[in-house]
Amino acid sequence: MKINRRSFIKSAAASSALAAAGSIFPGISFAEWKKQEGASGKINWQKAPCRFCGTGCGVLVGMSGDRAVAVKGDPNCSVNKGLCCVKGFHSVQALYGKDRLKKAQVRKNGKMVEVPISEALDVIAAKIQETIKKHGKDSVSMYGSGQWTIPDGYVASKLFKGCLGTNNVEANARLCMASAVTGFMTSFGIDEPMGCYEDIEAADVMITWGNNMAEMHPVLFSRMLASRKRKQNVTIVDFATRTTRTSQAADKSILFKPNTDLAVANAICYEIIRNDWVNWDFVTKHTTFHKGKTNIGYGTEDHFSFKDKPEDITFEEYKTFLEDYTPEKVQRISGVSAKDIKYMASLYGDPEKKVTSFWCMGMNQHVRGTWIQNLVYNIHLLTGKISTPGNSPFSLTGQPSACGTVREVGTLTNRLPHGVVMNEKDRKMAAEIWDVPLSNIDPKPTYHTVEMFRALDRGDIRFMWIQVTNPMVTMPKLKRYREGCLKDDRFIVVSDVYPTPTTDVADVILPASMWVEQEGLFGNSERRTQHFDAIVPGPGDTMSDTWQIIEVARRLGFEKQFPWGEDEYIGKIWEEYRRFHDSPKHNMAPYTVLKERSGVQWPFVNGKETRWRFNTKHDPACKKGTEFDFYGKKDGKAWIWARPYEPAAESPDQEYDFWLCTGRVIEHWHTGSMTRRVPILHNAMPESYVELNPEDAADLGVTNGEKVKIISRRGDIVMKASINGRGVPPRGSVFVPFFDENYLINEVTLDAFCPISKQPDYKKCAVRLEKA
Amino acid sequence: MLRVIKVILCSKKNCNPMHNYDRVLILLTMKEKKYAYDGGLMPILSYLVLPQAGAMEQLCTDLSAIECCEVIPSDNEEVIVLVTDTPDDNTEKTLQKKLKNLPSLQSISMTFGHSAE
Repeated sequence: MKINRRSFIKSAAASSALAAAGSIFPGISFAEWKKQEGASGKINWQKAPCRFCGTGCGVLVGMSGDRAVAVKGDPNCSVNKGLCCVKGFHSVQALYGKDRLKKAQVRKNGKMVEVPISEALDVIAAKIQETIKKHGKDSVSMYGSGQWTIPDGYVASKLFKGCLGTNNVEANARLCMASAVTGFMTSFGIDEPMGCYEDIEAADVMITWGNNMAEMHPVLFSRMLASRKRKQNVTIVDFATRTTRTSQAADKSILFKPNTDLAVANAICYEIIRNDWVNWDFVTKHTTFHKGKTNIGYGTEDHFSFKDKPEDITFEEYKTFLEDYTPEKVQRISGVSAKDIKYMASLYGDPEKKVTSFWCMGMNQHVRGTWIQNLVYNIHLLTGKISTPGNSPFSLTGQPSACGTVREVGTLTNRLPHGVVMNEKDRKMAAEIWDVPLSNIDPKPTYHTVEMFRALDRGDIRFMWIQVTNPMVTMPKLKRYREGCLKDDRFIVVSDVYPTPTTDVADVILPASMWVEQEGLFGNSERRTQHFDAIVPGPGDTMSDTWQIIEVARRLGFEKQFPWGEDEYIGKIWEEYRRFHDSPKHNMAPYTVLKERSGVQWPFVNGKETRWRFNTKHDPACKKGTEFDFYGKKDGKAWIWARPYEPAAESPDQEYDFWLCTGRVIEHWHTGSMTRRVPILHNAMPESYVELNPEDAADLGVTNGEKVKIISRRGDIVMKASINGRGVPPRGSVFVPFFDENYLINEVTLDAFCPISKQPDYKKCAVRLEKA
Repeated sequence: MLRVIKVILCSKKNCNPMHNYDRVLILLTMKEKKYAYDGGLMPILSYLVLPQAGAMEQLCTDLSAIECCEVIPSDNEEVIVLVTDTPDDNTEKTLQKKLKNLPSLQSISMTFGHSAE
């Protein structure tokens, strides 16, 4: 249907208002709109998951002809029930930025030159072959993303691990949820949350651990506030290192000193035991006690390695361990009053209250990320508040398919779509499904993300293909890794939708399809797999990341492993991938079911989704005859860990006297490469800033909007001060959002990581400030 | 060429435009921005408009009577979607004044804005 430009804009304007109304007044109807001339024919709504965060909101994309003009929340999606946040509402505009990458580019004589995409794919395949021949199979690598679709990650893993024989496959989810994985694995022996978003409505108490949900998971936070309003007796506690919108909306805000959440979690457990709030029946039947190594380091040196050594302990030994964590002792470490610690313990300990804990990057990007997950699980395990509606330790993810693509497909160096490369049974399964010789799959993991970029800098890796992520903004201690990419004899391929600081270091740029320009699947925070169709035609020579990999694989001679046609490959890949999870513990829904619904939760068994895992009433994988079965562990029992408080890798001292914490803002998705192309979002938050405590600002002689220089041992940056803005850090701390490529805050941050998960800590390093 | 207007939301003094803090929280980004209209040519804007108590019908009538306004009333809530399409800055400014002075209007929140140069 033809419409002129002006009526098209008016239609988009009306759709935007209708979508906003739908989010604010659920169920609102505008029958008159349909009567308007051409309106019902102009907008055709099609389902998709939102492109941005890990919440996995269902959206309806409004199509006018072959152009996406509007978005509204999908009322049929149980995640958001018709709600959307500002990013979601404006998401389709991110498809149409004027500098969209539409043509492939190859560096020739030092300059990027546009070429047909087939030529660029030829160059990539030839370079992979040449590099392997010269430097060995482990000199080539793939760095992907939690924004990869599930098929993207699957074919990347199949090509690199199955065909090329290198475990050099990592994804940016290492930077965002690796500690969540190791937390689950060490406490439960199996990954991903046991609960679901319905816990929000069932809970009496919700505690956010270092998690500004009002900005990072705004739709879920709206559900929390709506539940509080409806039920009246709901309590929300924000436990954080700075005051945010979440704190403002919470019933109680409690601030702690960075890294001391470890001590506070132990103190809560101490109080639960001291007051005999332990659910003894649950603890006796379903848990065991353990300790691991201590003083485990921070990974700041190349080739750092660590292997934990778990030991069994008794409950009495655990109780003795907790004596170092009385509320009074922990008050001195954490800055949290003993009274507040006891208050939090009393909420968890009250047998009449259902308690859900939420966390995301605050606990994941943590030099003891695995430990703090263990410790929060301890609280829920001691009280038996787990795997039942409203009782959930809930690890949220930040990216739309960090769970679906990275955790479930296993696009990390040590993982396979089922299990790990170190396990022969898992390798056999992969070799059989992938139709490759077993010997192809190397039993040794190679490099986790930070070490992969170090290897690139050192020259152990010479070729890196980066898809759907922007590491030249996001890597900590960025300067070293950017310089590594730019060294002679390094070859960088970048597949993306817009120019970024990462495409700046590329030797080949592939123009990628974005979101609903391709068919794909995401997997969200609550084990929900979400299918979307190709709704919008992509511009120019854009090609899905999956198909780019297939094209290169075929050029490398792996036609047999990548045989699918362009009109069927997503469905075929899904059905092949599904074979890896063919068990009641992880069965995935068939392609045909996913196409129809706004997301399906796994385990999907006998046509039914599983809401609460490990609970026999809800989870068909549990053994009969017991109320709970933590089947990830051989004995069906979850582990309670004695993990101590240890300080951050770098704390403020006389020279560098402030903590630096980095994070996101509601308007922008990650590095802003998409949302900064959305004019409304960009204008709402045009540049990054540094949040200062008002008293620190006064000491520095800085007023709102004046420039401040932030200096660390790695680098420095000058940016505007925000004082009493939307967030307020305590004295001695500053916060900087990382979305703005004009202010590369990661040149200042430290590449220390959790030795178990290898996830870097973006929340803590030492800086000093100067008025600029 | 399309140019985006910086205006996000305006409302009359002393009224909460959405009556519902919880749901509005997700839109706070919009609410807290400065409400400066930067005066592009031929702007197209859309708004959510709320009437004074009992004045839904009157507000529909008032808005429909203003040139450059298209009105889409909700049939089950006291909410109106308003789309405005003005040919130039002066007309836009006049329109803004008229809207602000409507007695039947309680609040008006912008949801979309483009101006074509």
